Amino acid sequence: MFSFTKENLQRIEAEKKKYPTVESAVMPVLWIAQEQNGNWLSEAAIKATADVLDLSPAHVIGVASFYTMYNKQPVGKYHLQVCSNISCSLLGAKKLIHHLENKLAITHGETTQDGLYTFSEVECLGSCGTAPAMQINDDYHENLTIEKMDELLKGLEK
Amino acid sequence: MKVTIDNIEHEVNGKPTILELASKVGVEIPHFCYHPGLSISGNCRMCLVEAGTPKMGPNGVELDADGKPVIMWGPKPTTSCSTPVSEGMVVKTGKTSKVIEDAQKGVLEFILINHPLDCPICDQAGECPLQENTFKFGPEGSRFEFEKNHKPKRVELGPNVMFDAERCINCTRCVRFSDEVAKAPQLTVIQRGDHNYIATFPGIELDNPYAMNVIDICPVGALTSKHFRFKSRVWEMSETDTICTGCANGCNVKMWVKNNEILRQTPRENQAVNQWWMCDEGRLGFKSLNENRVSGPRFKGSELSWEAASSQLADSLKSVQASELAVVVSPFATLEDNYASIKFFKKLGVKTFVRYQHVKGQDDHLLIKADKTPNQAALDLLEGIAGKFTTGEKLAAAIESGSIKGLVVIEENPFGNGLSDSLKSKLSILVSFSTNWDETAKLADLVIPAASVAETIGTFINAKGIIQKVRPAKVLKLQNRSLMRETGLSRWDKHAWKYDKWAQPTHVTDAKPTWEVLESAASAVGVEVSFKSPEQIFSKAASEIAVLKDVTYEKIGTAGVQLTSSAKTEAVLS
Repeated sequence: MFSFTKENLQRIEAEKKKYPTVESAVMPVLWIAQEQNGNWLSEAAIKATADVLDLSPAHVIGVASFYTMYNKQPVGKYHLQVCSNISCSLLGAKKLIHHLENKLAITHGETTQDGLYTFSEVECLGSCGTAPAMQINDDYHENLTIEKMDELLKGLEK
Repeated sequence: MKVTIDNIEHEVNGKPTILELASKVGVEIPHFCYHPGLSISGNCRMCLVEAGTPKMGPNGVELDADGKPVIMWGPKPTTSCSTPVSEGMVVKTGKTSKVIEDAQKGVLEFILINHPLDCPICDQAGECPLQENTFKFGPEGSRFEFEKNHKPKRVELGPNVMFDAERCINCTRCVRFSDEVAKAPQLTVIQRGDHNYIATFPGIELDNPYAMNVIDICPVGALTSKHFRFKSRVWEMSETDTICTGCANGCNVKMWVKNNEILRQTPRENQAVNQWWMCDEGRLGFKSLNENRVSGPRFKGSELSWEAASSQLADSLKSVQASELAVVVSPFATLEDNYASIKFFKKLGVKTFVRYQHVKGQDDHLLIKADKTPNQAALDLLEGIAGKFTTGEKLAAAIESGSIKGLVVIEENPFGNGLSDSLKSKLSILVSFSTNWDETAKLADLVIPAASVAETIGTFINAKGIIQKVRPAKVLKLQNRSLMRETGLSRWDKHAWKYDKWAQPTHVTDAKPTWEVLESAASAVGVEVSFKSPEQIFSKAASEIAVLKDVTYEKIGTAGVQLTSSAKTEAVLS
């Protein structure tokens, strides 16, 4: 079962106060739920969000399923999100993706057996000026090359 | 306010939207997501029109060389469902505007990109707005030559509703209905773009008491009824405008019949009674009109002819003193049947008329009433003629004490509603006019099969005091469908001849309206009554009951008549 921590309940109250209707607070509260639930939204977490906002669970799952940045499946400790939009692709994102897939033996949406890495091919990260880019959990890594990527992954293993 | 649609000027009161005004003045604007009973969504884009307003200059409305207002046209087509009209507005629909004609074709081409076009096996075909609008306004073909999207099929959304996500066009009518009307927000749109479809939260069912209305308002075959799926093409059924008799609300319905069997009931718009909706319990209540019916009169288990039954009825009634006879009238039966029974037995000298109450639960926010009988209000009116009704408890006591020795039951079920079976042995005679094999019919000495509300004509008064008429959707034995004036006819009924297999009557019940049986036994019993037709009985009743004075069958029509005062009005004896 999922239930919000005391601190998070306080954060949710603060979010609710920002908007005239509770519907507007659905997205920030889902984000809080995702954070607390280990970077993904379980059905229980979505239900808890609906309960805390007094909305129907159907409405909240509608919002959660609309946005791909809410993970509806468990993700690994490190969520590797490689951008494959036009700027990144022009600068070799596809090569990076193939390299990563071969190295970790997973494809889009999959998690490694040890539960360490999840790889997602994502749409524009808004980092076209420093393409190609990858987001690991909440951090950006820019101007990537295969070597740089290997180094990054090595750093993560520790 | 003056508004021009397709070069015709209309005088407008209030502030309707363009689509509301158009439907009021009879201009067709195709639409899918708009429904008059729901909030405006504007997502289907089918109701596009060109709209413009008069150009305002420093001296008011600017005029052109001909002295007509200069119209400022909107930069692009607008959705008529969400645009309110304004003074001097000029609107062009697809009829007068090439832009709109093309826009509608474009919209339909997009909507149909991922639609499976499985009309030949789709339940909705024949009554499908998508199919109809595509024929009327659609493109000649599609330019989409790739594989269509695949989505979940045959999803059980709830106990009564089946969902096919590929057919769904995401108009969200069902979502808005659940949220706004049923007040049970069980549905939502999940996923995004061309992958989106309707779903419930995992583990939650679409099981609110009004869930099946989403099937009616679905403009495609995405939501279908589990009880009706693949039973019939819609054009093979006849539809008869009648009312639901499941509770005291009296929702207006259409009964859909094939082979003399009711296959479904759908609500019919009546703003005063049920708007556009009905509850699932009422909708599925038709099953008792098809099944478990009493067919052919019976005396102590053996079948009788109708002639023998009416002489047996006379013998039975004469075998007990009228003062020892009790008659159970019925809030489930028509006003006409109750009036005829009361008149008949009153003339015979009967003093004891019994009425049962059937109250279960509470009224809800929309349509469902706690009073599960359709015609208690009519009995209130007839109380003036019958004298004060006796309750079921007093009847039981009177049978127990031996002061009542004979019981006649008119389309009621006292033995299923608290009257103990053991009291049957204290009755020298039990006559039951029954539609179904209920507890009373099974115990009765003489069982007279009665026409159900689906086979008779008569009136019902609902909780609001609106008097409405039922019409026969099914025929009884020896009745001919095409000769029954008020019965709906299907294409088969109209065009088949008697050797066609679908013209062979099946599911036919051998029953008669109660008033007709009473009339046939009257001379043998020695009672002088004259019942000729429901309409004639009604006019007799209307002449005796003050609130019905100006009401006629013609005025009741298909919409009903609000009686002048509440249903509890004192009846006046003539």
